Amino acid sequence: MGKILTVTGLNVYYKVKKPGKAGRERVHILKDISFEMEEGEILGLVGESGSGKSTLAKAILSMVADHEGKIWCKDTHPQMIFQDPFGSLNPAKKVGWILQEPLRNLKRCPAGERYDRAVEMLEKVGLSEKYMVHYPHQLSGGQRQRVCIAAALMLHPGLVLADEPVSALDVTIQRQVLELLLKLKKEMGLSILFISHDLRVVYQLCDRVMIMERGQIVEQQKTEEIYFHPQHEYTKRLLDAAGIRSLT
Amino acid sequence: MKQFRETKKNSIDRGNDERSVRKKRNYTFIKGCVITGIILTLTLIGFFYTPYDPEKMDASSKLAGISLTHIMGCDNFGRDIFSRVLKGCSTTLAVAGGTVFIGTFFGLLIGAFTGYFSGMIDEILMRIMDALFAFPSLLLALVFVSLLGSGKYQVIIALGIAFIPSFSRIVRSEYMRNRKLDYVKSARLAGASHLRIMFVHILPNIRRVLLASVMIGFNNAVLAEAGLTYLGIGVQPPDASLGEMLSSAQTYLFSAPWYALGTGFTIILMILGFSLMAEGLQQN
Repeated sequence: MGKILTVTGLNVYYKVKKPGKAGRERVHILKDISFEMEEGEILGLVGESGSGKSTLAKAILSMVADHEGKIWCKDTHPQMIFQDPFGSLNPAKKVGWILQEPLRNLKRCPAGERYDRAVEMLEKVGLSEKYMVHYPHQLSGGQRQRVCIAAALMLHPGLVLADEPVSALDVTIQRQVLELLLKLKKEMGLSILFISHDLRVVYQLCDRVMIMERGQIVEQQKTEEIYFHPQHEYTKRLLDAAGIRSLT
Repeated sequence: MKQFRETKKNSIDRGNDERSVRKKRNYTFIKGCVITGIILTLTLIGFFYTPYDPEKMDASSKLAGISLTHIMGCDNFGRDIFSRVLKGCSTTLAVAGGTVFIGTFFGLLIGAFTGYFSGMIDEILMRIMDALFAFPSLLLALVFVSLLGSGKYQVIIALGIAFIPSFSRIVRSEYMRNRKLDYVKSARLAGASHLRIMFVHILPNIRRVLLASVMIGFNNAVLAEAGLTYLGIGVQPPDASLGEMLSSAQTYLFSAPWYALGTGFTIILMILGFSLMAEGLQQN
């Protein structure tokens, strides 16, 4: 298995306006991040809110301006599944239009085939063709997240970044969506960077886990290692907080 | 069990109600279309036929009241008001429409670019807009008219420029709100260019705000044109415009109220038609 993603020495800065001071201050958000991702792997990224998980995802998608370090990605169009299925679908467009958009922009397939490819993908995520003419607001949260996943997979990406894809959904739907993700991962050979603060979900899903604290990766290990033999103090505290520590 | 069925039935009924409400909303649009249609038909008729020559003065029928021969009466020069309204509609529609078009077009462009990209261009353009905005739009139009000269087309350009800042502000704030949303990010990941995101992805989402401001702008333009004409720098006589007629009707409000009545009623219909249409579109 080859590598799909290599990040070496990544530093990201944000410019933040501090009250009472002129100009903007450069704040160090991600500090010297290095990790690798194998093809076909699900890598969990865990940390509390504000620890820089989403920023790391943005950096991989080259959506941050101010950064140092090297990001190498085998996939030219890595995709992302967002946390909020309400905000990540264009409210003014129909599902069919949203699904066909990547094909339209990148001209990966002839115009006549686009519709069929969109329907095919919609069926893959467990929705029927009739949803092609629905607007996002006509769908439930779970259905929307399915559409988001379908839209992200339209280009058959190798790497998918899932930024808390299930935390806005209720528990039963969470399960369904996670199972769908696993199924699609097997079918399409995806590598998934799974960002979450829910340690239980991560345990079920991921092959490896990285723990992030204040912009640094403090520990990365196989899932079992992290859960049963946590090394870092912060990891132990996280596990305690989630009530999982008693496993050991 | 029975109770359960009843609640279920009720919920179905509510569903029907919602559907009928939606139908009613569409009626708003239809009403607007009908009223606008009447105005447009009148305007169109005015191009080919008027009962009297709208510019022909007749001393004998000076300020004549409403009668079968003059259905809206006559003005202080003895001109048939209905004929002048037919002619004036086209002038007013052209001025208001042209003004709103210029204002919206450039306002949309400026607002979209500044709101979407922000940064230095935003700062510079918006400060210019602030400077423009600091003057009352009528005063600004006055300046442009004195630069360009008076007349129908000059008024359109002057008012249009005066209307750009308010449009661009509204559009800018909408773009600033929208560009941070996740759907814009996913559009970016779907390979859409910035231009495509601006005008294909975001624009349909701000159409309600845009429509509302276009309608308000249209109404303001009708009034602003009347104001300019009242000051004697708008549409030049003998060209008729509703605003010009309304302002001269003011003098005869008590001696010949039908002058203001006929003209004002037409303006109200015009504005009402467009407002209803906008509202109907928004609720759809």
